Amino acid sequence: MRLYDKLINIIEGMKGSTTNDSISGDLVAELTLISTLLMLGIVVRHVSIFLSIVILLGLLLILITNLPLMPKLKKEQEDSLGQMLYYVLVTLGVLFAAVYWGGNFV
Amino acid sequence: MNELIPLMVIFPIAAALLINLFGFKSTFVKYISIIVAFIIPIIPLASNFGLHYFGGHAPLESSLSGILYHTAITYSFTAFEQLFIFILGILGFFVVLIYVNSYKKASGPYLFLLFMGIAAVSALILSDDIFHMFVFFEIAAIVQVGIVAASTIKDRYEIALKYMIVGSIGSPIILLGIAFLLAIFGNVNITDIVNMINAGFPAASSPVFFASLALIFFGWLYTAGLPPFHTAKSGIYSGAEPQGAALLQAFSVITMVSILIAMVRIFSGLEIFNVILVAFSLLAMILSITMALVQTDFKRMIAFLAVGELGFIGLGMGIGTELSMTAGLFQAVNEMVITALLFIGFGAIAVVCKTTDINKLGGLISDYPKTAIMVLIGGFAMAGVPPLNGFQSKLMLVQSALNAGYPEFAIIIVLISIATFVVFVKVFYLMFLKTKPKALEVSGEKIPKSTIITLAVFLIICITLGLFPSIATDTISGFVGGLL
Repeated sequence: MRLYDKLINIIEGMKGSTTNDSISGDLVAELTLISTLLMLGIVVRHVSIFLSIVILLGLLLILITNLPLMPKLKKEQEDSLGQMLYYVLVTLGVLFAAVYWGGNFV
Repeated sequence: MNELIPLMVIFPIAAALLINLFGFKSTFVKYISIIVAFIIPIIPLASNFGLHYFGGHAPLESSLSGILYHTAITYSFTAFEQLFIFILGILGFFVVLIYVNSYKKASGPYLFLLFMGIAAVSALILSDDIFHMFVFFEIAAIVQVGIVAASTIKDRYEIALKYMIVGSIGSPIILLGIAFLLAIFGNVNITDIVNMINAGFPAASSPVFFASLALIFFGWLYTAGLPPFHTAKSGIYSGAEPQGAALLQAFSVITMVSILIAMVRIFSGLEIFNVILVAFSLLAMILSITMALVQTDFKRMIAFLAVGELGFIGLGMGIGTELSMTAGLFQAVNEMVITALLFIGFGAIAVVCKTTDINKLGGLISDYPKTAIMVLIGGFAMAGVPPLNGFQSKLMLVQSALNAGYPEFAIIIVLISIATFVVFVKVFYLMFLKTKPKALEVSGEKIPKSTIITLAVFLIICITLGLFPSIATDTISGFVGGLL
């Protein structure tokens, strides 16, 4: 499959993105997300440069294999109460574990 | 006049009760509300700076350690609190003005909620007692749900109920964190706890102290609407009436700042605190701006942006230098005014067009040129365009990130600001400049003068703080100096 066909398939797969304005919004969101995630990967250099390189490579792999990210991200942030509660409880668990057990290692 | 310090809380509560009591007399309620809303911003200006001990119980000195223990609930009032309560009072006055002008029959219970909210967040920023803060944090949370439930927006009950259910996790968790602090220190007064930590209290490095940080921090995420609560919080903003949303976001900002300052005072010795603060703030900025970009409902767009802007406050506080913390708190002041302007301006358009879908709007600049220009400048202020106030606080944040050795944060701040600018250019084009769709029926209803005046006043504040940021930064910088 040619790159052009892939691009068309991706755009057709974006539900709700049917106008020029919404496509441009989606693209800006996608680019903002990718660039900020990569910057966050670089921030890890303050802890360890090696870890930062590993995270950046991992991020690149995840980003390339999962493009476009925005439709997936949007789906995960819908107004469903079930999803809200799921992420609230996951965050509580991760935060508590990170602070309680990881607090002394920072 | 230190006696005026508790009045900043007691007066709006008493007024709220009175207004609710006479809720059936619409004209009376309207007049009383305007008078009360006018007096509220005057009280912090008339009051002297100082401490107020409820019940008159002055602190007692320990004969063993020499530490002063506060036996009474204590309110601390400085120029910093004055700034925030004054801005809140100004917002409250204009919100009440718009409300009483917009409806023929004023609702006593609705105005009761507005004044109770003002009282609750004023208490939060004044209080030096973390349990007392929790009580008013709960009142503020219930008020927020009430303001949404009392609106006329479709799905308001569902939005309010969802926020309440999510809050039923956040609130007990923060209370549990406070209980842990009480268990460690035997005290809930923040100054006392800080004094004990500084005196080398051994339990301050115990796992229970870390657990308390995790729990209070989680509760703070709920009150600020940072991830994972950002979806629920943005829903609350978009589910309220425009003027209600303007005040709700101010409540969120002050509640966030108050609890954040308490956490900085208690937990700043733990390095993990700054790490999680920066992490969640960045997450809020990124998730909110990307979600704002893909919305088609312009109220929801502004709601997501409002949540994302809170991330800038957290980031400034998390970097932890004097400049960054000043920038973060200055951003909080700016955020209150700018977001109120945007909610009220865009909300006025939603009311006259009876839709919030940007794809169904267009060509409105010919119908509402004044509102369009003021909303555009407000959008520029939020995006950080010079010489507006948002530019000053974001520039300070960028400088502080660079000075602290984190250029990555500076780049992220610039990227998010550019994306915010894109959101406003897109919304402005679609609502005001694009050819008017044939299906769009503008009712011909004029935007009330009270709304236009409010937008103009908020805009003047934005420009003034942009040209003369030292009006706010001098006060904030002095406060941050004391905090560090």
